[in-house]
Amino acid sequence: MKKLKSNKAMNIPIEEIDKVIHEPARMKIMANLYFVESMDAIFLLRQTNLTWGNLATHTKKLEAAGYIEVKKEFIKRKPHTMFILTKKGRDAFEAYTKRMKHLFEDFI
Amino acid sequence: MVEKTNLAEIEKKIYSALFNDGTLDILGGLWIFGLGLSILLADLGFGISEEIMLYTIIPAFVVYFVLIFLVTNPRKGVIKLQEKVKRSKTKFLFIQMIWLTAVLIAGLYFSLQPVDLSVWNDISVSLIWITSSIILCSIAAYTLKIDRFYIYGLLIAIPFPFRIFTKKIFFDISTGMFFIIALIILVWGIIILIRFIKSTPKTDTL
Repeated sequence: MKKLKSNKAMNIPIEEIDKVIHEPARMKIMANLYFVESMDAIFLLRQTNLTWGNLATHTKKLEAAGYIEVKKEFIKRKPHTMFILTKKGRDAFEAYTKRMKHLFEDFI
Repeated sequence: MVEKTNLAEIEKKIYSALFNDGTLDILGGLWIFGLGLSILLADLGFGISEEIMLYTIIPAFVVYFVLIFLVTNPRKGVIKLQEKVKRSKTKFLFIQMIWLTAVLIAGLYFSLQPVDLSVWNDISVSLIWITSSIILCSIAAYTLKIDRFYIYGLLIAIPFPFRIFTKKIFFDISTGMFFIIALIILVWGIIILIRFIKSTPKTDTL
Protein backbone atom coordinates (compact mmCIF):
# COMPACT_ATOMS: atom_id res chain seq x y z
CA MET A 1 0.00 0.00 0.00
CA LYS A 2 1.27 3.51 -0.83
CA LYS A 3 2.31 5.71 2.04
CA LEU A 4 0.48 9.01 2.00
CA LYS A 5 2.33 12.15 3.00
CA SER A 6 -0.27 14.31 4.72
CA ASN A 7 -3.95 14.81 5.38
CA LYS A 8 -3.90 17.55 2.76
CA ALA A 9 -2.88 14.98 0.21
CA MET A 10 -5.57 12.61 1.43
CA ASN A 11 -8.15 15.35 1.92
CA ILE A 12 -10.31 13.29 4.28
CA PRO A 13 -13.58 14.72 5.50
CA ILE A 14 -14.08 13.82 9.19
CA GLU A 15 -17.56 12.51 8.32
CA GLU A 16 -15.94 9.76 6.28
CA ILE A 17 -14.27 8.15 9.30
CA ASP A 18 -15.56 4.61 9.67
CA LYS A 19 -18.05 4.90 12.54
CA VAL A 20 -18.36 1.14 12.92
CA ILE A 21 -14.70 0.84 13.91
CA HIS A 22 -14.42 4.23 15.62
CA GLU A 23 -16.27 3.10 18.77
CA PRO A 24 -13.60 2.11 21.41
CA ALA A 25 -15.06 -1.31 22.22
CA ARG A 26 -15.33 -2.28 18.55
CA MET A 27 -11.87 -0.86 17.89
CA LYS A 28 -10.48 -3.14 20.62
CA ILE A 29 -12.25 -6.15 19.12
CA MET A 30 -10.98 -5.34 15.62
CA ALA A 31 -7.41 -4.68 16.86
CA ASN A 32 -7.33 -7.99 18.72
CA LEU A 33 -8.64 -9.96 15.77
CA TYR A 34 -6.23 -8.18 13.42
CA PHE A 35 -3.23 -10.00 14.90
CA VAL A 36 -4.66 -13.52 14.90
CA GLU A 37 -6.37 -15.98 12.59
CA SER A 38 -9.29 -16.43 14.98
CA MET A 39 -10.14 -16.03 18.64
CA ASP A 40 -12.97 -17.40 20.77
CA ALA A 41 -15.36 -15.35 22.89
CA ILE A 42 -13.67 -16.18 26.22
CA PHE A 43 -10.24 -15.08 24.99
CA LEU A 44 -11.67 -11.95 23.37
CA LEU A 45 -13.63 -11.10 26.51
CA ARG A 46 -10.48 -11.29 28.63
CA GLN A 47 -8.45 -9.27 26.12
CA THR A 48 -11.00 -6.48 25.74
CA ASN A 49 -12.31 -6.32 29.33
CA LEU A 50 -15.87 -6.09 28.01
CA THR A 51 -18.95 -7.70 29.57
CA TRP A 52 -20.76 -10.59 27.82
CA GLY A 53 -23.60 -8.22 26.89
CA ASN A 54 -21.30 -5.59 25.43
CA LEU A 55 -19.27 -8.17 23.55
CA ALA A 56 -22.40 -9.69 22.03
CA THR A 57 -23.78 -6.28 20.98
CA HIS A 58 -20.57 -5.01 19.41
CA THR A 59 -19.70 -8.25 17.63
CA LYS A 60 -23.21 -8.29 16.12
CA LYS A 61 -22.61 -4.78 14.73
CA LEU A 62 -19.26 -5.78 13.31
CA GLU A 63 -20.78 -8.93 11.83
CA ALA A 64 -23.59 -6.91 10.26
CA ALA A 65 -20.99 -4.61 8.67
CA GLY A 66 -19.25 -7.68 7.26
CA TYR A 67 -16.06 -6.99 9.20
CA ILE A 68 -16.06 -10.17 11.24
CA GLU A 69 -17.33 -13.69 10.83
CA VAL A 70 -18.81 -15.63 13.74
CA LYS A 71 -18.50 -19.41 13.78
CA LYS A 72 -19.71 -21.93 16.34
CA GLU A 73 -17.16 -24.71 16.72
CA PHE A 74 -16.72 -27.72 18.97
CA ILE A 75 -13.16 -27.93 20.28
CA LYS A 76 -12.44 -30.87 22.60
CA ARG A 77 -16.21 -31.51 22.79
CA LYS A 78 -16.89 -28.01 24.14
CA PRO A 79 -18.76 -25.32 22.19
CA HIS A 80 -16.73 -22.24 21.28
CA THR A 81 -17.86 -19.08 19.50
CA MET A 82 -14.98 -18.20 17.20
CA PHE A 83 -14.47 -14.73 15.72
CA ILE A 84 -12.56 -14.21 12.49
CA LEU A 85 -11.67 -10.89 10.88
CA THR A 86 -12.84 -10.95 7.26
CA LYS A 87 -10.84 -9.56 4.32
CA LYS A 88 -13.23 -6.61 4.23
CA GLY A 89 -12.70 -6.08 7.98
CA ARG A 90 -8.92 -6.27 7.68
CA ASP A 91 -8.88 -3.74 4.83
CA ALA A 92 -11.31 -1.46 6.69
CA PHE A 93 -9.17 -1.56 9.85
CA GLU A 94 -6.00 -0.77 7.91
CA ALA A 95 -7.73 2.09 6.09
CA TYR A 96 -9.14 3.40 9.38
CA THR A 97 -5.76 3.44 11.16
CA LYS A 98 -4.14 5.16 8.17
CA ARG A 99 -6.89 7.74 7.95
CA MET A 100 -6.72 8.52 11.66
CA LYS A 101 -2.96 8.88 11.47
CA HIS A 102 -3.11 11.23 8.50
CA LEU A 103 -6.09 13.14 9.83
CA PHE A 104 -4.03 14.48 12.73
CA GLU A 105 -0.69 14.65 10.97
CA ASP A 106 -0.64 18.40 10.36
CA PHE A 107 -2.91 19.22 13.29
CA ILE A 108 -1.54 21.67 15.97
CA MET B 1 -10.42 -2.16 38.60
CA VAL B 2 -10.88 -2.13 34.85
CA GLU B 3 -7.63 -2.50 32.95
CA LYS B 4 -7.21 0.02 30.15
CA THR B 5 -6.33 -1.35 26.74
CA ASN B 6 -3.41 0.17 24.94
CA LEU B 7 -3.79 -0.43 21.20
CA ALA B 8 -0.03 -0.40 20.65
CA GLU B 9 0.42 -3.20 23.16
CA ILE B 10 -2.41 -5.43 21.94
CA GLU B 11 -0.20 -7.78 19.93
CA LYS B 12 2.15 -8.26 22.89
CA LYS B 13 -0.80 -8.76 25.25
CA ILE B 14 -2.36 -11.44 23.02
CA TYR B 15 0.79 -13.55 23.07
CA SER B 16 1.57 -13.04 26.77
CA ALA B 17 -2.06 -13.88 27.66
CA LEU B 18 -1.32 -17.46 26.61
CA PHE B 19 1.18 -17.82 29.47
CA ASN B 20 0.43 -14.96 31.83
CA ASP B 21 -1.83 -16.78 34.28
CA GLY B 22 0.54 -16.98 37.25
CA THR B 23 1.16 -20.74 36.96
CA LEU B 24 4.74 -20.32 35.69
CA ASP B 25 5.45 -17.98 38.62
CA ILE B 26 4.03 -20.53 41.06
CA LEU B 27 6.17 -23.27 39.48
CA GLY B 28 9.26 -21.04 39.74
CA GLY B 29 8.51 -20.10 43.35
CA LEU B 30 7.95 -23.72 44.40
CA TRP B 31 11.08 -24.80 42.49
CA ILE B 32 13.26 -22.26 44.35
CA PHE B 33 11.56 -23.28 47.60
CA GLY B 34 12.33 -26.96 46.87
CA LEU B 35 15.92 -26.11 46.02
CA GLY B 36 16.37 -24.20 49.28
CA LEU B 37 14.71 -26.99 51.26
CA SER B 38 16.93 -29.66 49.73
CA ILE B 39 20.08 -27.64 50.58
CA LEU B 40 18.79 -27.02 54.11
CA LEU B 41 17.96 -30.72 54.64
CA ALA B 42 21.39 -31.71 53.29
CA ASP B 43 23.01 -29.24 55.72
CA LEU B 44 21.05 -30.81 58.56
CA GLY B 45 22.39 -34.22 57.57
CA PHE B 46 19.33 -35.81 55.93
CA GLY B 47 21.23 -36.89 52.82
CA ILE B 48 22.70 -35.51 49.62
CA SER B 49 20.98 -32.35 48.35
CA GLU B 50 20.71 -33.63 44.73
CA GLU B 51 18.71 -36.66 45.93
CA ILE B 52 16.46 -34.68 48.28
CA MET B 53 15.93 -32.16 45.46
CA LEU B 54 14.01 -34.78 43.47
CA TYR B 55 11.45 -35.10 46.27
CA THR B 56 11.15 -31.37 46.92
CA ILE B 57 10.90 -30.28 43.27
CA ILE B 58 8.50 -32.97 41.98
CA PRO B 59 5.57 -31.52 44.03
CA ALA B 60 6.17 -28.16 42.30
CA PHE B 61 5.53 -29.77 38.90
CA VAL B 62 2.50 -31.68 40.24
CA VAL B 63 0.97 -28.39 41.49
CA TYR B 64 1.81 -26.70 38.15
CA PHE B 65 0.17 -29.39 35.98
CA VAL B 66 -2.90 -29.59 38.23
CA LEU B 67 -3.30 -25.81 37.97
CA ILE B 68 -2.91 -25.61 34.18
CA PHE B 69 -5.14 -28.59 33.37
CA LEU B 70 -7.90 -28.00 35.91
CA VAL B 71 -7.91 -24.26 36.53
CA THR B 72 -6.30 -22.08 33.86
CA ASN B 73 -6.54 -23.94 30.53
CA PRO B 74 -10.36 -24.27 30.58
CA ARG B 75 -10.57 -20.53 31.31
CA LYS B 76 -8.03 -19.32 28.75
CA GLY B 77 -10.22 -19.69 25.71
CA VAL B 78 -9.07 -20.63 22.23
CA ILE B 79 -6.84 -18.66 19.89
CA LYS B 80 -5.54 -19.60 16.46
CA LEU B 81 -2.37 -17.75 15.53
CA GLN B 82 -1.57 -16.47 12.06
CA GLU B 83 0.51 -18.71 9.79
CA LYS B 84 3.62 -16.44 9.91
CA VAL B 85 3.50 -16.35 13.76
CA LYS B 86 3.13 -20.15 13.86
CA ARG B 87 6.15 -20.47 11.52
CA SER B 88 8.36 -18.15 13.61
CA LYS B 89 7.28 -19.98 16.77
CA THR B 90 8.25 -23.33 15.21
CA LYS B 91 11.58 -21.87 14.09
CA PHE B 92 12.26 -20.53 17.58
CA LEU B 93 11.36 -23.87 19.21
CA PHE B 94 13.69 -25.64 16.78
CA ILE B 95 16.58 -23.29 17.69
CA GLN B 96 15.85 -23.82 21.39
CA MET B 97 15.89 -27.62 20.93
CA ILE B 98 19.30 -27.42 19.21
CA TRP B 99 20.61 -25.14 21.95
CA LEU B 100 19.33 -27.42 24.74
CA THR B 101 20.78 -30.52 23.05
CA ALA B 102 24.16 -28.77 22.72
CA VAL B 103 24.05 -27.81 26.41
CA LEU B 104 23.13 -31.40 27.36
CA ILE B 105 26.01 -32.87 25.31
CA ALA B 106 28.46 -30.30 26.74
CA GLY B 107 27.18 -31.04 30.27
CA LEU B 108 27.60 -34.79 29.79
CA TYR B 109 31.08 -34.33 28.32
CA PHE B 110 32.30 -32.13 31.18
CA SER B 111 30.70 -34.32 33.85
CA LEU B 112 32.75 -37.27 32.58
CA GLN B 113 36.01 -35.34 32.89
CA PRO B 114 38.12 -35.51 36.09
CA VAL B 115 37.17 -32.57 38.34
CA ASP B 116 39.81 -30.00 39.14
CA LEU B 117 38.41 -28.47 42.35
CA SER B 118 40.78 -25.52 42.29
CA VAL B 119 39.01 -24.17 39.17
CA TRP B 120 35.50 -24.56 40.62
CA ASN B 121 35.92 -22.14 43.48
CA ASP B 122 33.09 -20.19 45.10
CA ILE B 123 33.42 -17.22 42.77
CA SER B 124 33.21 -19.22 39.52
CA VAL B 125 30.21 -21.25 40.78
CA SER B 126 28.45 -18.05 41.83
CA LEU B 127 29.16 -16.42 38.47
CA ILE B 128 27.78 -19.42 36.59
CA TRP B 129 24.63 -19.35 38.74
CA ILE B 130 24.14 -15.58 38.32
CA THR B 131 24.68 -15.52 34.54
CA SER B 132 22.59 -18.62 33.84
CA SER B 133 19.64 -17.44 35.96
CA ILE B 134 19.67 -14.00 34.34
CA ILE B 135 20.10 -15.38 30.80
CA LEU B 136 17.43 -18.11 31.15
CA CYS B 137 14.87 -15.79 32.74
CA SER B 138 15.60 -13.09 30.15
CA ILE B 139 15.06 -15.61 27.31
CA ALA B 140 11.76 -16.63 28.94
CA ALA B 141 10.74 -12.98 29.43
CA TYR B 142 11.58 -12.07 25.84
CA THR B 143 9.96 -15.08 24.18
CA LEU B 144 6.83 -15.16 26.34
CA LYS B 145 6.66 -11.33 26.39
CA ILE B 146 6.26 -11.25 30.17
CA ASP B 147 8.36 -8.39 31.55
CA ARG B 148 8.40 -9.44 35.23
CA PHE B 149 10.53 -12.49 34.33
CA TYR B 150 13.48 -10.10 33.91
CA ILE B 151 13.05 -9.20 37.60
CA TYR B 152 12.79 -12.90 38.48
CA GLY B 153 16.15 -13.44 36.76
CA LEU B 154 17.74 -10.85 39.06
CA LEU B 155 15.97 -12.27 42.13
CA ILE B 156 16.93 -15.88 41.40
CA ALA B 157 20.54 -14.78 40.90
CA ILE B 158 20.78 -13.75 44.58
CA PRO B 159 20.25 -16.84 46.85
CA PHE B 160 23.02 -19.19 45.70
CA PRO B 161 25.92 -16.68 45.88
CA PHE B 162 24.37 -15.37 49.13
CA ARG B 163 24.57 -18.87 50.60
CA ILE B 164 28.15 -19.43 49.41
CA PHE B 165 29.46 -16.20 50.88
CA THR B 166 27.49 -16.21 54.14
CA LYS B 167 27.64 -19.89 55.13
CA LYS B 168 31.03 -19.46 56.79
CA ILE B 169 29.82 -16.64 59.03
CA PHE B 170 26.03 -17.15 59.35
CA PHE B 171 25.57 -20.83 58.57
CA ASP B 172 22.07 -21.03 60.10
CA ILE B 173 20.56 -18.35 57.90
CA SER B 174 22.60 -18.89 54.71
CA THR B 175 19.77 -20.77 52.95
CA GLY B 176 17.16 -18.27 54.15
CA MET B 177 17.45 -16.20 50.98
CA PHE B 178 16.08 -19.12 48.91
CA PHE B 179 12.88 -19.06 50.96
CA ILE B 180 12.55 -15.26 50.81
CA ILE B 181 12.92 -15.22 46.99
CA ALA B 182 10.60 -18.24 46.67
CA LEU B 183 7.98 -16.48 48.78
CA ILE B 184 8.17 -13.28 46.69
CA ILE B 185 7.75 -15.18 43.38
CA LEU B 186 5.07 -17.46 44.84
CA VAL B 187 2.97 -14.59 46.23
CA TRP B 188 3.33 -12.69 42.92
CA GLY B 189 2.16 -15.78 41.04
CA ILE B 190 -0.79 -16.38 43.36
CA ILE B 191 -1.94 -12.75 42.98
CA ILE B 192 -1.79 -13.07 39.17
CA LEU B 193 -3.63 -16.41 39.28
CA ILE B 194 -6.42 -14.97 41.47
CA ARG B 195 -6.76 -11.96 39.13
CA PHE B 196 -6.87 -14.33 36.14
CA ILE B 197 -9.60 -16.51 37.71
CA LYS B 198 -11.64 -13.47 38.74
CA SER B 199 -11.49 -11.90 35.28
CA THR B 200 -12.23 -15.04 33.26
CA PRO B 201 -15.42 -17.07 33.07
CA LYS B 202 -15.08 -20.83 32.66
CA THR B 203 -17.58 -21.32 29.86
CA ASP B 204 -18.58 -19.67 26.64
CA THR B 205 -21.99 -18.12 27.26
CA LEU B 206 -22.24 -16.04 24.09
